[in-house]
Amino acid sequence: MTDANSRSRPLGVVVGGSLTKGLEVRLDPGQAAQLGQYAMTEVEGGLSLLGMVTDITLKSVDAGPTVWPPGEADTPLLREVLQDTGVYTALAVDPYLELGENGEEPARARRLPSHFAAVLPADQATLDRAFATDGPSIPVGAPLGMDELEVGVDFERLFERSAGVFGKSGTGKSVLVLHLLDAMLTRSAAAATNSERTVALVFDMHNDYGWEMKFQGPTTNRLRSLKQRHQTDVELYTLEARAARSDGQILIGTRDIHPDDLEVLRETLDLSDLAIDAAHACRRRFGPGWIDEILADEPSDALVGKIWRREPPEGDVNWSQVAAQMGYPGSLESLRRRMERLTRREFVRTEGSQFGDVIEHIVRSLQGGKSVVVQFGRHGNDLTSYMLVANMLSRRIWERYRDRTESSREQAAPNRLVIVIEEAHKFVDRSLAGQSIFGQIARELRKYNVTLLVIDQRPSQIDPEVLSQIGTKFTLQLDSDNDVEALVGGVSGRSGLRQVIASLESKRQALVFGHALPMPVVVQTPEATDAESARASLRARLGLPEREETSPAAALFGAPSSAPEPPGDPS
Amino acid sequence: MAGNPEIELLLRTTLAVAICGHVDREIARPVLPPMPPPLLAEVHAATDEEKVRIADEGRFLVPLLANPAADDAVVAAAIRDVARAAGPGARPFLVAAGKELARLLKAEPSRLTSILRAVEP
Repeated sequence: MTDANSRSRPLGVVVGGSLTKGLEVRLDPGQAAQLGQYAMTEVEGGLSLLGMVTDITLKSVDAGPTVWPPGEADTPLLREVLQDTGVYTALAVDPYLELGENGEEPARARRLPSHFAAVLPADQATLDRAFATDGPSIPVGAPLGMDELEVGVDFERLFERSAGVFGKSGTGKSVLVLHLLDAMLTRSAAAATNSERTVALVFDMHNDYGWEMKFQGPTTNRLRSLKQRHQTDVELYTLEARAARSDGQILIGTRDIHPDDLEVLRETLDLSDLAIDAAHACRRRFGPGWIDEILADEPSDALVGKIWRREPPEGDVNWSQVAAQMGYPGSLESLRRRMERLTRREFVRTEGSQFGDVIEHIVRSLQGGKSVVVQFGRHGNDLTSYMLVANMLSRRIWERYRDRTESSREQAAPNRLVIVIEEAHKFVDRSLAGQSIFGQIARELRKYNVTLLVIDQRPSQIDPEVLSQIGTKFTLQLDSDNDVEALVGGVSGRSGLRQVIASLESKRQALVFGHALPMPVVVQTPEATDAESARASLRARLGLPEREETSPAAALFGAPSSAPEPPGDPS
Repeated sequence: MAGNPEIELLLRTTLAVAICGHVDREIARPVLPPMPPPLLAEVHAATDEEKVRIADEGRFLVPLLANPAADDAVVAAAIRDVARAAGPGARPFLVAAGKELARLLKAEPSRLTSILRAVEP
């Protein structure tokens, strides 16, 4: 029997089910099916129904064989006879798509096959049609059990809404994200004008997406990252003063920090509501230099003058008097201590404003079609730094984008920006989604051409409202039921998807579903590689010529083999 | 025997035959024939090939089980006999007949078990 013939042998027959709860299929003797596998069947009118196996159950016709199962001493004949007569295997198949005969656009499944319709393993041609995309697509791997097929997510649809990559640590999130970003940059590099380029602003917690990525792989454990792959289209910013291969350092002046920026740090800095209120009051009274003012050992005369307009107390005034006078006894003191801790970081400079230049540079790069990777280096383990910088930068850049979009009704809108954040749940936590800029971006999404790519281990901690705005979800293995539930909640056939997520392997297996795909798919995610062959196939999927054209800059100067000279502080 | 010709008339062996199929114009059908065989028709043992044909993958068990005279030992013996006749096809036949039996006896799992135990070579 040839391979093709064995493919077309039915898996089983439909014996019941509904559109909402899925089909029940009785598995034919000698056939096997696995969770997440695609199956298809005919419905009347020449339509094929495509669905996914979401559960496999062992059933018995009646209690007899299970109450008195054949024992060890029993003959093998009895066991063989009972298979598929007294006991059988049932598949739950969730129908997703209807495919017409004449190559029409696949539609959501709205019909059911008749009883006893044969259910076949989905063949290549059908899946090709189901996952066909009009425009460029990013290959995300082969569906389970069909190694020859490569599923692609629609490039436009993926980035026109926010997307998320979820999975516990070590499942391959970073490699997958690098693959998506690489595809994005490859596509953007070929765009004719800047406004057609999709760019990324990556807050790179662990130095993965800048120069090279370290990971635990079978053969290699280092991978060339974005900057090495797209020399001229990526700028690296760092928080560390003397970082190699940096296009600039990010510096924050104390005058740049607005009390709104502290809201997201409530938890990590252990700031009370009152302390935040005190910060707002200080900013109101002391102006942009409020942090420098309150960090002084003794309250300055000017400050005292602002608080006691008429008669300042006699003698030296201390901070507790100021706090009492302002109406924040205790909380002002705690705010001072927190600010002291915050400003001790090397990228925070007292008495000055540094941030405007950095923002200016970054915005110019982004709107000029370059992606920006902000590397946190050793600050990556310091959540406070990460959140402060990511939030401050995103807020201000988003404001620029918003202003530009709103002011330029006639002009071209700015190019699309995708902000990549890790540990997203810290930013869009249930308690502070209202304050965080990321909650706002997720909600107002494409209005201003800014979307998010969130990377997270604990989707259940993310504000549900934000999570529901995430269009395309890449789900690697997750352990907690809450996390799984948070992701599939509201999706049709969610009980089935839940089973599928639970059965994912611990590495490189993902369930991809949502806006950019016609139906959920379990894929073996692409291997961590930057081999030429992989790049060529990526370019083909993206609708680009197979070989990269050498950019004029690279042709002039050649591809630098070592690190480019750091141009130094952008300010 | 030659000295006692009366013995043959005194001691006889009779067979009860349960009909479990018939051949109608070369087609073996594992169901009762429309008419019983005529009186005084000769009864021959079926050939191996006929046995396998009429057993039809175990479908001959339907009329057989419906016959009150055929108890479990008879059913088991019949299956065994056809299996022997099937030669190399014995095992597939046993499984197919067993499955047929399982469907027919789905309410009586213990009966199924005892018949299959008696059948197993």
